[in-house]
Amino acid sequence: MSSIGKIYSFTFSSLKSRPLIFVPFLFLAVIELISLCVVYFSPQLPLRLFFGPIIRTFWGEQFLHYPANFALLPKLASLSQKADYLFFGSLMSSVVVVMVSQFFRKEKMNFKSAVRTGFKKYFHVFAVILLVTVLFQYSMKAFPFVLYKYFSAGHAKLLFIPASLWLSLGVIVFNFILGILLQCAFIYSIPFIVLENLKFGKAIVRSMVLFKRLFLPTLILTTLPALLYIPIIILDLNAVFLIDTLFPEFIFLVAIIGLGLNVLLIDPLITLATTFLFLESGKNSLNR
Amino acid sequence: MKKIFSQKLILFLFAMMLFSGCANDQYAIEKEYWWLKKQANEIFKNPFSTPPRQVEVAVAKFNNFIRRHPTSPMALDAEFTIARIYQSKEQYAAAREQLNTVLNKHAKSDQICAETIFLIGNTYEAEDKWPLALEKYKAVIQKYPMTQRGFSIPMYIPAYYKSKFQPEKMVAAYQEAIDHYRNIAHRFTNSPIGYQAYNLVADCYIGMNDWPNAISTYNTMLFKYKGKLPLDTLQMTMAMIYSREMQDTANAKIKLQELLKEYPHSRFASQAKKFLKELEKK
Repeated sequence: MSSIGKIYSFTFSSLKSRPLIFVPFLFLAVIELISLCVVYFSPQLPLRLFFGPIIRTFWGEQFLHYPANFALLPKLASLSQKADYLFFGSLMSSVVVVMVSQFFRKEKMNFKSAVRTGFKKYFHVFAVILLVTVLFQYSMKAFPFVLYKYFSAGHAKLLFIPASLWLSLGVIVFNFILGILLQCAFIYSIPFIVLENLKFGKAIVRSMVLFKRLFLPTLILTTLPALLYIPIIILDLNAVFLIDTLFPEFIFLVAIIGLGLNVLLIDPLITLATTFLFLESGKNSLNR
Repeated sequence: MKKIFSQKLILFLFAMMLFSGCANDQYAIEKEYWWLKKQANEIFKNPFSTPPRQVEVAVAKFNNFIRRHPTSPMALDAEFTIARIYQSKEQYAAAREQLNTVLNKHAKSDQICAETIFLIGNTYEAEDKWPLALEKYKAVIQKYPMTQRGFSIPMYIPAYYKSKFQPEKMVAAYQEAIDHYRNIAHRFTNSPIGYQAYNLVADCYIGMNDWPNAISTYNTMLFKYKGKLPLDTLQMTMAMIYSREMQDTANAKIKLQELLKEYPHSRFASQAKKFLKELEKK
């Protein structure tokens, strides 16, 4: 626990003394906000001309009409955020890792060299994030599928919990835990690629080995900030209720708040903290 | 070059978003109408405590919407909503006047006319003037029998008598409905309308608790539509009637076995298997 305290102390002091570290997150927030606005305006002219056929094909005509489009907005926002994180977050994560390592080693912070390194390592980091995204998407579908098969066979309960609870809350909790575990397993790949110049495959293996060694601190540093997102998940799941009870645009407001929370608070906390832990564990390994 | 391109792209996206929502397109009309309906729903929630001024404002806004978007599909819904607002405030004459306006405007559309005359009947019914309401309902059955509303009204009338605990009138109304639907079924035997009409004949018998005639009607349907339409729903219903209403376990089992043999992948298959097990235990 004292190491967690030390890591968070590093994290907050780095942000306080070197606010430049926050710039990549700001940049990503702007990109994601633009994407969110595109999603919001997609059922309206002129964006409808391009997005209309796509939404119609994959989700149905009803989501091109007010206010049903807001029921789909959380899903589309999530997809656009994943795409933004894949293409832009790959670069931004690398830049942040380099800047954190410059701070840790008490070197002069050089934003340009961090960006240059980020570009050099872009495709490897992109591959890691793509792999995590694909694994998460498929695993997210696998669990409900297995549950559905189990309950369709005639079972009313699993571990004394009724089917209705499993298929609603159970799936949400599982997806949350799965997301955390996948993130933890691969989180050190980026520092290994950017700072130790490893290739994609080797970086993933080393990341998993390091996660196993630093299991509890990594889990804590990833889970604690992620818990802040739970209210947004709950609000997103009740989109239809909120549309009817409050007003449809409330969903867009929730999406903006969720974006801000994710990119400007949760992501920085997780990325900075785990990078510091990586650097600290590397220092400790050298000192042994 | 790349810098200029990316700058132009950002400006283009920004302009697209800036001008999104400025067009008076279908989405903008839907948005406007949704907020109007929200105001109407506030009146429907508590019509008696809604001040008259609020009702006037709501009706004026709906009329304004109709005037500005006369060809929109929501314009018709707006006209009906105005009538509903008046009806909720027990201003039945005003509601009928509104509905008569709709009738004149959409005289060429059978579906709309049927629905409008039915709603006029509803206003009489709400005023407790059942004979006038019945006159309107019968007019819909006579003039627009093949519209959605015209098709369903013969079942609406006996349901009214049932709710008023008038069993004799209910039975008479069911008999009339049976004759009406049989007539349609004979005229359109080889079509889904005929099937639907026979189904409603069976529903009428069920409404009167006349189980043998209901079963007889279902058997007729099984004979006429076998191989033409999926009949698993029929077989399941017959099994339940045999078992629960006629205490005829043997025939119930036969029907369930037939269902499982002819429609093994039916959505009723697992329910039928369970039901069959229960009957075999008895």
